[in-house]
Amino acid sequence: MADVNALTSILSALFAAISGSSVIGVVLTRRNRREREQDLKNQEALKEKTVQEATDLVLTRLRNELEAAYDDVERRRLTIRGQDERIGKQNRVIRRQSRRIDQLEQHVRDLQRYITDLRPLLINAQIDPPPVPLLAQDYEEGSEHG
Amino acid sequence: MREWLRREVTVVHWRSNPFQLTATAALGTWSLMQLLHGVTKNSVLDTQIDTQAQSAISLTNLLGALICMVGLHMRDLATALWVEVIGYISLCGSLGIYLWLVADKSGWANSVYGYGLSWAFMSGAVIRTTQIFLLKRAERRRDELARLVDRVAEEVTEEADDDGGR
Repeated sequence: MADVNALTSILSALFAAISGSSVIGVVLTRRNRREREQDLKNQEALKEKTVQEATDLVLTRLRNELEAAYDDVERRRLTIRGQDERIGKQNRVIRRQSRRIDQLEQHVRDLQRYITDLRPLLINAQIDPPPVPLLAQDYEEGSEHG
Repeated sequence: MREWLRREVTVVHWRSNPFQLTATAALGTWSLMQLLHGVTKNSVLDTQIDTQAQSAISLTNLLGALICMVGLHMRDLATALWVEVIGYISLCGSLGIYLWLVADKSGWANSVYGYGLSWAFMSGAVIRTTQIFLLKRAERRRDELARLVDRVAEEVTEEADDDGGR
């Protein structure tokens, strides 16, 4: 009888102790796991934040460089446009001068023809004919032929 | 408090498996009543062991039932299953002592309704414990397989990278 009582009490206490300590162990393990998960989450968040900050920094730098490059291109474009306008103006002057030169050449040609036509009459009238005016290209042709 | 309850506690088992919950609650109540008022007069426990041993069995029973109930109401499934198993092991121990005492001293011939219920509950506890252990084993195996697949995929990728580099 006494043995049964003792055995029953001991076994009951043993099972109670096992279950109690197991529950405490499980709860502690769970708390550790949660803390570990929280740490991991914090680390991930920190890593994400760091990556985000680094990305922002790089993006800001790139944006600044891009804006500087854009400004430079715009400045060069304005310079080129100014040069274009100057060149256009000079082209117009050149064209005007070319037209003027053409008119003068035409006058000289008319004069040449006029003098050439008058030359036999003047010779018959014993008047020295005036020299035929020559153009620059006539000089060049003459030098080439001569 | 309300937030904590919403985060940690679930009552889904009352809907999915009410018999398990009611049986456990009945066992806990029965053990508490034994502690407060003593065991049934002229029962095996009353006649075969003294009050101290009776109280020890009842206390262990109550503890196991309480642990089991806590496990059944935890929302964190991984922890809940372990707590549940601990409760069942404790209950198997205390109920086993009781059943052994009754079987040794009285036998089935003089058994009462509670004796059969205790057998049923212990059988259920053993089955449920086996289920949980098998589930845990399967989860461990699944994790190992997932790690293996990851490792193989990593090796294959590295080999493909090496081939591409050459």
